[in-house]
Amino acid sequence: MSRRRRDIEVDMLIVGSEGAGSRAAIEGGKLGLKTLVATKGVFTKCGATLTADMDCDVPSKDAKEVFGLDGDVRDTVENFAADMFEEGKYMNNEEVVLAHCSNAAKYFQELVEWGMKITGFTQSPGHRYPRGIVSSGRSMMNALKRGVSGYEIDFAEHTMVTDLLTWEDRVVGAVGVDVRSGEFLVIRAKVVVLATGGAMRVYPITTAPEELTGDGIVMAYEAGAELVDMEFPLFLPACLYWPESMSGVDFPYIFSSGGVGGWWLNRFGERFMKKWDPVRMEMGTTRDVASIAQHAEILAGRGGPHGGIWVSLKHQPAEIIDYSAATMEWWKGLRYGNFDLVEFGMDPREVAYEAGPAAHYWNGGVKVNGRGETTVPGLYAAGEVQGGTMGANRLSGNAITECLVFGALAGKTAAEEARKISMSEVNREQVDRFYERIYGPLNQKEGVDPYEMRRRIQETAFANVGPIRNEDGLKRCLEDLRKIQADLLPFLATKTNEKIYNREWVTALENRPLLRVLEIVTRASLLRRESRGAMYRQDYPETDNKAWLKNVIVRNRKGDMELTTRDVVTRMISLPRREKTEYSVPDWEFEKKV
Amino acid sequence: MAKKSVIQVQVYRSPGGEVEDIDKGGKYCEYEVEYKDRMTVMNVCDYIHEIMDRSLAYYKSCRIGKCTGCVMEVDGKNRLACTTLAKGGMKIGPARGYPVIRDLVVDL
Repeated sequence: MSRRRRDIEVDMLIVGSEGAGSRAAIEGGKLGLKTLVATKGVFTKCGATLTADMDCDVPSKDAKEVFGLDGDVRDTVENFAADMFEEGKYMNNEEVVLAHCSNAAKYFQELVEWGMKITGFTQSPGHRYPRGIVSSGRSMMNALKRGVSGYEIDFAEHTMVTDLLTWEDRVVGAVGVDVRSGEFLVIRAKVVVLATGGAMRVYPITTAPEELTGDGIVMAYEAGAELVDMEFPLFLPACLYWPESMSGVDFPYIFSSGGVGGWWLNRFGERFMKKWDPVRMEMGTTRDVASIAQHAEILAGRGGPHGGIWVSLKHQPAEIIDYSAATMEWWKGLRYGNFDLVEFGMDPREVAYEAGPAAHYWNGGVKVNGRGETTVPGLYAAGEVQGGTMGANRLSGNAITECLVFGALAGKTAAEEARKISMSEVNREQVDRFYERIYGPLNQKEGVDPYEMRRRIQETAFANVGPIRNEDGLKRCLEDLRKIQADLLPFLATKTNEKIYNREWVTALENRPLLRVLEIVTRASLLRRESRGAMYRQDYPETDNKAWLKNVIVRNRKGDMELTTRDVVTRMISLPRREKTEYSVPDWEFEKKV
Repeated sequence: MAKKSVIQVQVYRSPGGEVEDIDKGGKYCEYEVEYKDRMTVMNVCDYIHEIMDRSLAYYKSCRIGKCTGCVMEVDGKNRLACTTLAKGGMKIGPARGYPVIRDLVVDL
């Protein structure tokens, strides 16, 4: 079947429209560039930013001096950075962290000018000072919408960018499809900014929206960009496993870490956190440790019928729950988000919830410097798609800061570059090759079901590459992926070849990045023979600072996946001196616990 | 084996073909869907799309009531598909007040 083709020419192409993408677009607008934002969803109705609850971190000193909040003047950029390093287990990139911390207040101040509402101020686990400005993803996106409206910026919604165009090792545009019409898009651009978020959809249970399938990470990889810290997907503990319609909803975690304090129980009714983090327990522990603790209970067969552990508020009198739900905005009237908990049979006074770790955030990603440049000329990355900010574990409240700050910084760097250079040629042979691959599943009459392939990827990810991993499982996953790559991927065929808004086709197109991302995570996890941050190796349970104060860098070398390690370099942070430490919590002894 | 419980729902379908034809002759079609515990309108769409008819178009992003992109007309009222419980006899159409892109997807 032949499809219509549309050629577009812009100065700056931004892939992804939310926190990072729309903020980057403003920089193109400021310089009067022809700026196009392409998004799989609808602007202000997609992406991860909107799902944030949210605290956004700034140095506590700035919280006080810039925003008039109850911040602590002793907390400087350097202190904030030091906490990020400590909780990131020293994997973070110093230049990126400093850019993150020193620009946070400035860009949030701009959002407040555009109408973002601040509703509180908080101190989340892992932060030595209160740094969390409380607002909501919705309020932030409303502000960004206002910011964007001041400039001429085009939005291409329902548009999936699938591949980057290259010319002499430089990124010169992209191809994709307009899902509304089924048209093939060839977009020539002087610079491309990736703001596509993470790849959490590689896992079946996740807090992330549908479209976070690692498209940007894999596009960058295929264009030759270095990826970093890909072995550290972050899981959020205590997210719902049941009912299916609420899979991945995070409110049991929210009230466990704040709120009125949930208990995490195994099938024997034990509060198992006393084995893992006995002082901080459920309310004070960090998310990496908590996810591993919950996963360990589940793997040891101490979970429930739907594969989770239990989260319960039933130790609290109904009066306390009622008072909390009457006074706390985030679950006012026992509603969370738009869910009516009572209507859904989830009244916390009546039932305990089956819950567990859900894929939440992508710590690693496309390697950038403090200006948002990737290792490939013409290509920039901002927000969750970038790697280096968080290292092995992200502090609560830092994701929104990252997407905002690097949206602005990468946008600015890219826009300045676009102003200096001229439009490149396009490799027609490359365009034709992408076209064939994109339209392959539609043209193939019979073959592999895209949803079946998606299930196979997610099943092996969940079974073998969760918070707790070991060599056997990781090798099993690689073998599964090899089979999927050989037996399923080339034979994808959609059952419908409807042109307009074909969901099945989009699913088929997303399977390719998901498969590649999972292979990268698995290979990087195999290489790192230790446990650190969000990654726990059952067969190497200690954090090994002698051998592993190193980042794993993944790169595509002419079609071969190359993994190398690079020493962590820091000028301001003193690295841990102990050669080997127990994993994360002081009394860690894995064998006794499982 | 226990008999599976099913519900009947009506879902709006656009005619197939080109963009220009989308307003001509759309109609509500009846589907029999396997009912699952605390199923939502979004789950009904997923079931029809994955099991019965892959051409059903609908918008899905956060699926937790935050992005608001899945707004549909459910029994005469605009509601979010992801946080609305499904019931037998339900009538599901494109959100009222917006141009239809196809089926349940509207231009928000």
